[in-house]
Amino acid sequence: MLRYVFGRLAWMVPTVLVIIVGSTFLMRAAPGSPFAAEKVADDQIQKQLAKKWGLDKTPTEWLWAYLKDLARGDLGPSFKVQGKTVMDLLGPAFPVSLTLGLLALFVALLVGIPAGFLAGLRQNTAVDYGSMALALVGISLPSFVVGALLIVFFVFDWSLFPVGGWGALSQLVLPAITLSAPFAAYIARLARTGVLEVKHEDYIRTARAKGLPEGEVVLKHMIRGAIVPVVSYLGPAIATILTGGFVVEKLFRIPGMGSYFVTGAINRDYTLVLGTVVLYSTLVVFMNLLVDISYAVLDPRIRLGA
Amino acid sequence: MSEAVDEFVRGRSLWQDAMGRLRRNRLAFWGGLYVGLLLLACGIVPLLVDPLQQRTAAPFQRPSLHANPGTGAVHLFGTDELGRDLFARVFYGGRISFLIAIVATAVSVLIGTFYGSIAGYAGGRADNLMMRFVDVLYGLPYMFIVILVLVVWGRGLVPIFVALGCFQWLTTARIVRGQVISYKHREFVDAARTIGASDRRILFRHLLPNVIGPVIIYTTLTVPAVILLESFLSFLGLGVQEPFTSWGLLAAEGTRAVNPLASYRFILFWPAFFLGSTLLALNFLGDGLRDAIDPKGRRT
Amino acid sequence: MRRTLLVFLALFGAGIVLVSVMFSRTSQERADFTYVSGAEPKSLDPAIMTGQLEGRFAEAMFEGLTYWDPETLDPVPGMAERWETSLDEKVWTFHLRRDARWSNGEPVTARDFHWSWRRALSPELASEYSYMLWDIVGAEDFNKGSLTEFDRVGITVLDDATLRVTLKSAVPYFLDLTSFYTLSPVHRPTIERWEADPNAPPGAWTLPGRVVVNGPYLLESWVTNDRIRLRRNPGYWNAGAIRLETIDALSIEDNTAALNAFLTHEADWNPANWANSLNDEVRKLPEFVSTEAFISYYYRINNTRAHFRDRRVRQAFSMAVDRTELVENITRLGEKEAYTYVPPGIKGYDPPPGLRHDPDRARKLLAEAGFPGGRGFPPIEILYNTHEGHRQIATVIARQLSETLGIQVHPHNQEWQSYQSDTQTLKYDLARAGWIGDYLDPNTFLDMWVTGGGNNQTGYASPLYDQLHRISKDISSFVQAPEESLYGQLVEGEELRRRVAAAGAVPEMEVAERLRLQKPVRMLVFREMEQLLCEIDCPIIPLYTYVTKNLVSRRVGGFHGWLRGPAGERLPNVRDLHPLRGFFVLPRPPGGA
Repeated sequence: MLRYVFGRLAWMVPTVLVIIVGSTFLMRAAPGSPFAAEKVADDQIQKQLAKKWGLDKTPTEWLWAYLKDLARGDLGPSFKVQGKTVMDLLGPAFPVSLTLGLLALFVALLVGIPAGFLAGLRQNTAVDYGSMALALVGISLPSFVVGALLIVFFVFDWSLFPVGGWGALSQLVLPAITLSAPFAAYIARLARTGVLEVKHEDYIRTARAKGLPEGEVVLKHMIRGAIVPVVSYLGPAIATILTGGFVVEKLFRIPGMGSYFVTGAINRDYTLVLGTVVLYSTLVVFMNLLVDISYAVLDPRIRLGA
Repeated sequence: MSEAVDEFVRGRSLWQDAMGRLRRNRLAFWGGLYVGLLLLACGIVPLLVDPLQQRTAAPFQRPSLHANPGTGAVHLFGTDELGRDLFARVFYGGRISFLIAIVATAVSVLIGTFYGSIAGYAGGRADNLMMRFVDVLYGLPYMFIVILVLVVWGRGLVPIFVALGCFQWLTTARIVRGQVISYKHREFVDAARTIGASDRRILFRHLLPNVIGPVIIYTTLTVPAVILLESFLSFLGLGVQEPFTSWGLLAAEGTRAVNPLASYRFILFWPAFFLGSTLLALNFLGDGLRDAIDPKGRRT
Repeated sequence: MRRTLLVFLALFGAGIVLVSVMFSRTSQERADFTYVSGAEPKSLDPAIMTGQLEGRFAEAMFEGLTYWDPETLDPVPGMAERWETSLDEKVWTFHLRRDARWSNGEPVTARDFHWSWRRALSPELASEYSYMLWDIVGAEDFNKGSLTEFDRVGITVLDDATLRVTLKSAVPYFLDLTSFYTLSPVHRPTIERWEADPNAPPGAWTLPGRVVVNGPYLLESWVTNDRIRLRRNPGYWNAGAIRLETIDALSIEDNTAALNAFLTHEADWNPANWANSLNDEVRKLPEFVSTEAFISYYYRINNTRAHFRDRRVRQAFSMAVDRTELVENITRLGEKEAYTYVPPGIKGYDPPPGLRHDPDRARKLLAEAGFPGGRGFPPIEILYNTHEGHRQIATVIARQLSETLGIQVHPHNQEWQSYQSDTQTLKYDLARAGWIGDYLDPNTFLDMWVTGGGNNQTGYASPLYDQLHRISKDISSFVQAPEESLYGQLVEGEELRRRVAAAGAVPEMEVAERLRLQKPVRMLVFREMEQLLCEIDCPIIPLYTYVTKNLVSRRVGGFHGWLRGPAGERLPNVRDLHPLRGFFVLPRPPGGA
């Protein structure tokens, strides 16, 4: 097991490296780089960056210098935001995006798993059709539409929540719900499938025959097998929830990493974009590792590397 | 004598089985019909009503069945901020949304199939290398690549096709590779080889047709996902640009038209309705196709 | 098994704890006063910045020799407690107050001003507003690099508390200039320290925790894409008069979010950040304040591009735009069409008629220039900064131009900082622009168009315009020695000759009468400049004159939509200047409100 973990951690490095290299070349290939002649502080930025990483060098040499600094934890200055380094910008933004993403994930699990289980246990009843229909709607609407509708009803019509921003607990509610909606829906569908797969298995019938109460049957025996599809979805879900956060952050004006990536990409703020990419991918790869481990803990048949 | 025997004995192919099941699925049927009608409407409506005509004196007119006194025309869905008829714009945007969905999915499937079949058929080191590459890319959130590609190539429809086409080819590649590997050692392939068929011929004429099933299943997941992704990009300002419009862009405009002062909810409602209902219909169709092709019900 | 459940619950619990901990670390309580600032400021360095939103920060953090009194917008003593001028008003001597301090306790001295103004004029800094200092002897030459010894510039330190400034000629609005942020003092040790650090990006010295200020507010925090927080500076010489402890400036670029921030009471002041289409509803709100504004909305034309070199093309563009449609249907707040650049409201100034909307003539001119029916004209873009209002206007003008002239025009947006860069570096065809008059004189609108002016940004270079500008700066010299060849090149050359003769006929000793007759000469010179700018050369397309529009919560005071005039009369605040130092929270009437 330990060997597996180390192996995967080791894999993280080349993965992130490929991402950095790819992004750099992609950005350098872009027309309209920030290296085109610009006045004032941009001139000064150019000179300073030229000193630091040699803008006149080839992309490879630039990359090499960047990576060396990266190893020291120095993500460099932002090209476009006056006076701030990438760390200055992303430092406070990273926990914000992480908080939002994790919160949305928890809400999605909290809502999706019980809903899916109920639907699966009561297959082909109103509960099943109803919740699955709701789930389908959840994955058929883009999150910014869901968010806008929530704002219309819960902020404008009934002033229950503020319209956006970050800082108070009440500002967490709507964004978390908006971001979690499609995931809750998808998780519900997966949980339902999981239940359907296990519920006719012999060991469940045995448990029921033994006279065990339904609650115990579900929570003690079914859950392990039924939860498998949900867990295997968690990996891609985490990546998607973090990027889905871009849109929710924009709609609710949350100062997370998403806006930096998008505006950075549009403005050719290389260092900022690379910084975001590095942070995100490291996080995603790490979370995927956690998920895979818990996957193996759950189902010994899926012993890693088998 | 022989014809009669043929008639009796001619069995149903798997394909025909599947289509039969599909036809009987009510939800999938209505879903498919809805999408078909929408496609037709998107083609025709903008030809009848001009989606680009600005009437700046009459912005945000409410939907009505009666002719609007300011513009002299009927605006079933109202008008937008520059007085353009929303009804026409919704269907005009639908054209682009469908176009993007179809082309991007086609690109994605093509790339994935090509890549996966070569990897699977070649085997050995080449296969290993190719799939390692896929594994590495798998860890990267696709949004990044999409946004970076769009930024590098600028705005416009072609970069969007390419960027969205990059999306999800990885899984298609994996599926196709798996299928090719499981089929390539079958007898019919050996047989083809002994009669001197080239590798390419084997790949395209014999292996690929068997791979199509799972690929179709995956495609049904891709199309709605591409439409959703395009709407996200438009919301972020990276997607379709004026004068073109798409459902995503219209919905994004809709989110900007809601505020406590003046309720222009219809600007949000109509594009959202068409976007949502189309995705729903596509999901039904997709579910139905998957059930039809793989009736064991092991679907998600 | 039980174990699985426990594992899950443990993970869950850990997650919730993690989320709450991280969240509580990023939250904050409300500031005393919150306002919508708009886009992220491009820079907080007062010598470099040029925008109105950046200006608000500079006026809060830095104080020059004088500052604008929020109730009258008259320049009042700031760092300088008194001053004297010579008889000809060319030499000013400022006496700094003894209790003026930087936020780190050090005293503010005349040397600080000397160093800061030299910095603003240094060619390497490339400040766009350095021309604010060009009235000082030698300043323009130093700024352009033709003079290298700064000692020859008319800024002298007599001692720590005395600064002497020598001007090239009398400038009636000089004290307005000394209130302007470009002339703020900046803290030399801080700047030099951060510029010596190779790892620090330029502008690093302006960040919270580093910047040293002398104004009413300190820069407490700057969360990009969220808000900038200012805190009352207890070391400010007049700290007792500052009634707000904290101010939050929200960085919201999206109009809808900005309006919503005000309507949901998150922001107390929203200066013009909302969608034009809502103007009909917004103007009915009790919190809405609007007056005429000394602000021009216009488009720059990139005169350096081949297709715009011929002035007939530029004239055609100006005539093809229907400003009435913009003002009546898009902006809808009582704005006025503008056919010339200087907004109305200056006593004694009479602008020329400008080019009216004339599609037929526009087409004829375009054909004469070699593009009949628009054939051969390349597709062009209208650059604007991300803002719903600008987008709407750009979309409508694009349509007007393409329909009238038969060419392809597309709107193209950038966020504020990139838009500024692209405009400065002439990477555009047409670019949306706005200009607020810095003082009530036509010069503030017209002096930016001289060849090479920092705020020109169109490539417009007209020797005649430059000559007229030079004359407007020193009318008395011109009256004494008028350039004969000039009159033939002007539209109203004969009238100018008459006025010059009238002014020149007054004997030297009757100073007052002489000055009185010089004014119409000066105003006519400005009129000729506008004729070049808006009728003959057309390097820009004036569109409309703003009205000020603000939403101010009734919970705050200190917002002056109308100013107190010198005789106590009510004057509209046409410059739309509302210094942050003037705001305060109104006490709640007893019994609740």
